[in-house]
Amino acid sequence: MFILLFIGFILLILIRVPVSIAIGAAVLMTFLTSDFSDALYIIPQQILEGVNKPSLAAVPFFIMAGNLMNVVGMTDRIFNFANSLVGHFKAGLAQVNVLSSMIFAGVSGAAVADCAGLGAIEIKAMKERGYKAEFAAAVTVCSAVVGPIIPPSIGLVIFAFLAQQSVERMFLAGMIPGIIIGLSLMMFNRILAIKNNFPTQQKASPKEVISSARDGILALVAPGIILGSILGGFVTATEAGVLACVYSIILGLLYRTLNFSNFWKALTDTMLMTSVIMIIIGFSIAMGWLLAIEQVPQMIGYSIFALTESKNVFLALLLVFIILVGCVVEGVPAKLLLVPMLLPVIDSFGIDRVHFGIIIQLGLLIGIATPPMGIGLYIMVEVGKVPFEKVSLAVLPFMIPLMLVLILLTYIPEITLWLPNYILGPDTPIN
Amino acid sequence: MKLQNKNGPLYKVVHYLDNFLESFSFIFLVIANMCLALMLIGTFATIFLRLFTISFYWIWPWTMQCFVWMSFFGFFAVYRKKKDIVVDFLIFKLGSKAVLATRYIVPILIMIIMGFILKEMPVIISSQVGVIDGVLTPWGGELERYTLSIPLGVSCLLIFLNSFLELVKTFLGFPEDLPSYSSDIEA
Repeated sequence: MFILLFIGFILLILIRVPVSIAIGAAVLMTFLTSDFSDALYIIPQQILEGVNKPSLAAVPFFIMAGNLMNVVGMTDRIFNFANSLVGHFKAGLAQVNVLSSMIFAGVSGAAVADCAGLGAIEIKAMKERGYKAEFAAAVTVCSAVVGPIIPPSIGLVIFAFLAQQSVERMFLAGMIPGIIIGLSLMMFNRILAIKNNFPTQQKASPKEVISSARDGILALVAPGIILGSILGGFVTATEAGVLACVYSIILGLLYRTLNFSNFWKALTDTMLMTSVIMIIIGFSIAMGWLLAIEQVPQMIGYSIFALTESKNVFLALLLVFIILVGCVVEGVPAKLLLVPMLLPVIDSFGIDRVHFGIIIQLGLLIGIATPPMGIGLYIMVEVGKVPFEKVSLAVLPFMIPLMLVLILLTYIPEITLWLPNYILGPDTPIN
Repeated sequence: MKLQNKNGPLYKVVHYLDNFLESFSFIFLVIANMCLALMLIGTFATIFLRLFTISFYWIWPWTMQCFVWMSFFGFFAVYRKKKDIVVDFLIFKLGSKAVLATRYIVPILIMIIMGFILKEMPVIISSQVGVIDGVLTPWGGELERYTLSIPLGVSCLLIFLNSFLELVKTFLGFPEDLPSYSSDIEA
């Protein structure tokens, strides 16, 4: 059943079927070949159930926060501040690119907003300074991976809902891994800069650094406000998303960059993206219902235990599997397909669900930079005016630091779990 | 059959239908955006009023109602504006015949899925009895549960019509309206 579902889904997306329809068609096919072929009303019923989940109400607000930051020009201020801080380093603008993404990640929950918003500014600046367009595009798409790891993150909200974990714990778990990814990309940039003699720029004077920090200070404190308000227990995750949006609106009014037209654009982009995600979630909930009834996760568990009883071997197989899936399936549907099926196995091996959440989040996120389903690559084609093949090749070297960090996070769970356990205490799953 | 006469009656019918669906897409987009804006206002009001220990128990149920409506009204707008995630580079590599084939296959598949949901809608609506707790209406009482699923049915019907129109347009030789991968890029 799982094979039919999965292969059917992959084949459909490869023939240009929209992802939500492909998942719907795969679910319908699976229902028709199951014992529930005469109870198809369950599918729309489950779609309704799936969309009507309070824990997912945070999703549109973290998308909107990123979109609002882009339209009110906060991204330019973040870029200018990062430029004054690390622009004089080897491969200066490549480092600025990574640092900007890390700061932007503190408000936005989606990699797409990073690629399209910051990416446009970063690639233009890098091209002007003599960097190759495909290299600029590759750095941009790979640094955007940081976005949905550093809180807030839409992917982590969805994982928390699927794995019955608290959003706060997932957000805290993403913090250190996100910083490590950023630093590893910066180190890799430096190695490439020495090897390829990338252009450098003059060091900003302390006065310039202070000036750019003053310009961007209100944008720079936004991540602290969001995370602080959640962790302080003042607001829920959904309310924190709303605070981020309202904060961006206030800054837009303060900077006089927000008008009705760009507010409407941010609203429309958010609504369209959320609708796609929610419809995919709706169909996936129907699929999850059927898989649970047919005890597919348990069967997968038995098959894996027959293959290996070693946790380390299982983790290695899991990594390969997640990366392969991430190459062909977009992050949200992939998570919706895999998490309910893998959770019983994860529990059996004694792997912490929060730890697993970060592994699957990063493993699938790498897929935004890999063909054929790398949405980040498609955005780079448009934003950077780079051929798809060229940018696909240019991202390959960046897979080295990303994969190394993924392996590190997989085999040293303390990196992920230390902060949430330190702040929130030991894990207690929500039921 | 290729498009021969741009002033012919079939061409006019296609354009009429296209404009009709475009108008509905705009209306749905506005409704979905309004739902999102109301979610934002409602949740912010909850946070703000908490400072004064004031709360209205109907705000959160309405927020969830708006969330469901936004997702379902937005469903049609997503398809009309071709904003769903699509992998097309492989088909483009295979050449124009493969592209043409998918211009027939994809709308047919969408019509099958939408047709199936529409077929099951009466069962769904009839099973949604009772009111939604806390979704108070200005005219008194609470909103009926079936109001959650009606936008899904209407969107599915319009997506069905839109896909049918896509098929007719392909058959008549209209050029394909290709999607942009992100609306942010247009900014």
